[in-house]
Amino acid sequence: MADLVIGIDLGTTNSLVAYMDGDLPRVIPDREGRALLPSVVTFGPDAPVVGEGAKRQLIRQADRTVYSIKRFMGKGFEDVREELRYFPFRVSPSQEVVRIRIGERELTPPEISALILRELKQWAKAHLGREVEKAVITVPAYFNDSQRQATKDAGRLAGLEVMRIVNEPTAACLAYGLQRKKEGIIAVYDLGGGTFDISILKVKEGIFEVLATNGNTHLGGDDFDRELVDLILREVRERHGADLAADPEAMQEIRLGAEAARVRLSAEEWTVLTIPFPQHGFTFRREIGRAELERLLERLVQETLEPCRLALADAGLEASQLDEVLLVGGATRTPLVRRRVQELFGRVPHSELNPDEVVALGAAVQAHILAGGITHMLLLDVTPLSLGIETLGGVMSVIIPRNTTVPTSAKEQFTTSVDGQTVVDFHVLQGERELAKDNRSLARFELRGIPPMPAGIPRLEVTFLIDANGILQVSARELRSGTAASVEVKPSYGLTDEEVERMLQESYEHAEADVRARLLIETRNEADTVLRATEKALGQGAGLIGPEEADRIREALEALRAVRDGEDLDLLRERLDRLNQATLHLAEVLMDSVLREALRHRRVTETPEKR
Amino acid sequence: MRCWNCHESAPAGDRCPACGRLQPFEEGGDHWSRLGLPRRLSLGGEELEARFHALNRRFHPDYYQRRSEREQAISLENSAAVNVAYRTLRDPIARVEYLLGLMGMPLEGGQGQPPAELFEEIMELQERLQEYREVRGDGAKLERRLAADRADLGARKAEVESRLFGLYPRWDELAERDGEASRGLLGEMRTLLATRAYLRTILRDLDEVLGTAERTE
Ligand SMILES: Nc1ncnc2c1ncn2[C@@H]1O[C@H](COP(=O)(O)OP(=O)(O)OP(=O)(O)O)[C@@H](O)[C@H]1O
Ligand SMILES: [Mg+2]
Repeated sequence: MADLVIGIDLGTTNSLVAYMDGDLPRVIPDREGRALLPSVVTFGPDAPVVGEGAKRQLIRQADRTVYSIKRFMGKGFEDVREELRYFPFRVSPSQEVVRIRIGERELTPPEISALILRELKQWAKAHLGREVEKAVITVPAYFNDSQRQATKDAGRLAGLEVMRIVNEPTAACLAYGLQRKKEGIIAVYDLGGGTFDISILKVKEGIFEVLATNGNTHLGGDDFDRELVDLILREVRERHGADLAADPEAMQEIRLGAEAARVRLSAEEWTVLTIPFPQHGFTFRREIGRAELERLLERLVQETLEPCRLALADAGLEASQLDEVLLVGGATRTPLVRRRVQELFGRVPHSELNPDEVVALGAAVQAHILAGGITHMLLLDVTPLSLGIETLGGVMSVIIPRNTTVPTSAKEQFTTSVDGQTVVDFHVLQGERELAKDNRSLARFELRGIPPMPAGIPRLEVTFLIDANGILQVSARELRSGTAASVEVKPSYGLTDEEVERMLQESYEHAEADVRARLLIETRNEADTVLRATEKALGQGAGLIGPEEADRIREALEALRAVRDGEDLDLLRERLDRLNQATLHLAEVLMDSVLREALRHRRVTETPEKR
Repeated sequence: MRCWNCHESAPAGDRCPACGRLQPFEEGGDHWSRLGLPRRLSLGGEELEARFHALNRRFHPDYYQRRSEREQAISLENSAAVNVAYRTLRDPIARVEYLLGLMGMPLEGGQGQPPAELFEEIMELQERLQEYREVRGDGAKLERRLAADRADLGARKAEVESRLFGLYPRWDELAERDGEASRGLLGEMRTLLATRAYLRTILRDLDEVLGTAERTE
């Protein structure tokens, strides 16, 4: 039997998990039947809460509730400084990795994303009734190495073996391919909450070959919202003389109000924006039409078109050569986006599969391929950005060009410049610009253990290999002596292996505390159920049992009630068991079958509703 | 070659017939051998793509997820090698440049000297470019002139390429019979390549100055 590998779409706004149910990919819902997990985490007094529960805290706990964390993955403080004013939570100024400040704690984006992944893992486990350890996780095609690595780290921190990082638009294409078996040249336009991707694929006899990809990892529905947020802030200032930009709760109200109005305008021509600010003593009200919204969005939508043209050019194709255009991502429901895409490609785009789900479905298909469950389909993806090293004069010298099919590798030779030098270092970059400083710094590598020789004599051969995840691996050897040089990596915006290890260790410890907190809540709920049922049973069945038995039950009941609000889980469990024992006979003799059932099956095995 | 696992005889870059384990490519092979093709300069796109697909079906890491670490490493290396080979050979320019490198006659890097036949013309053009950049003289007129230059040089580049590609079948034929003559032919191709590289650099300068939408490859 094929292994169970789940597919996860870790989105900016929403995350989903899917698996292969026989021949069909299926999204896994939570207990309430919801498929979309809002990518929101709130850090309350107890264990962190993820999803809908956290979303409800966006306003009340604005500074402890983190959303759109994907925009911070693999980034440095400097990268995000500009947009921080839109976020109510604090980000600590630091050199490398972004750190989010929650009370006394500082958390990196992979740690926060790991909480989302952990929640999805739970969903899968509850739904499938078995442990889930392996996953395929999707990322925007245009994610660079650091962002991919950060996603992989998040998976590891969530206790998942990340079998593959797969690109979102290609995953979507796989889902379509499985269902329709259509061949030809396909463009996938994916505009989600935070990122934009365009990928052009050639599908032939089960092989999904990506010809070119392009995009912008910082452009999506979130940015659409910001146009509207800025407009509202401006008008509030004009009309009410209030500056709400520094008030995190008000900012959150505005953002949510703006998004809701924007979404309504996808279906309606007009809508009314109503945002109450009780703290400030006024309500902002305004009508807005689709045309006005479109004027605000036009510039951003235009920004998606240039990457489309570049991708076409890189694929060596004209728009007219495409057989199909697929739309993916919630923001492609925006009518203006559809119109512009249609104009650019000269054809009506498809969106038959639910644009929210299709990426997760594709991830499940890729997961099934890796598990050995599908053999006729094969995805050949590309690396989205050119990889190079910094050379003399601060110029980037390209080693692997963008849109090269992965896995791929290239070799480069280095030597020493000083007699007896045993360490050589080099700087690896990603990007399309001439100068190193204009590209993305990935890491600095140090080759150690070079046998001492006169300057220029050692011949160090470095192999750069980009694996099927689009992640770089570097190895080196000294050709004259044949020794392997050890390679030390200093990621520019990522976690070192040691850091991930340490976080894993900590998260085990936290996890233990978290599990205890969860169990305590569950057991309290269970106690409440049993207490209620016992009281009712005593009322109805007192005549059926002797007074001694009734006293015993009452005593056990009070004993349980006394510890109901305590923190001692073991004691609570023990008293609960005692009461259960005490009521066994009562349950037998009770006439009311409903009550009997309640007393008999009082063990609540499932987690209670989350706050 | 001996299988690394069971030590029976096994073909390089394929499964061992005895134990089924994937074998690495032979050291010192070239892009053609890795794609299972004879070393020829004329190659059909369809044929190449078919090899590319077939070999990815054989080597791709997707199919080795549940195998040993050693086999996974071989699959990764083999499929990377196939992808690099395909990328190089499907482009007729990269293909001949690669061949020149293999034969120990690599194209010199850098810009080099303008080819003699174009010397005069190019000197004049550089002057016009300079003038245009410094906004001297009649801008509109210069721009028209430069656009005409661009069209002219573009046509020349196409012509150089077609001469170059015309030599491919001849080399394929000679390489098998007459080593010396085929080397001479390679020298000829290298000269054409140098001219082409030079034209391309200037065309790119022109593209940049004129802001032309189409890009010179
Ligand atoms: N009907 C609609 N009209 C316009 N926008 C919509 C509509 N429905 C959802 N959206 C927008 O889609 C975005 C979320 O889309 P989606 O769930 O595909 O993103 P994501 O997968 O979380 O993000 P990403 O893929 O960028 O990481 C939000 O910005 C949301 O406002
Ligand atoms: Mg998405």
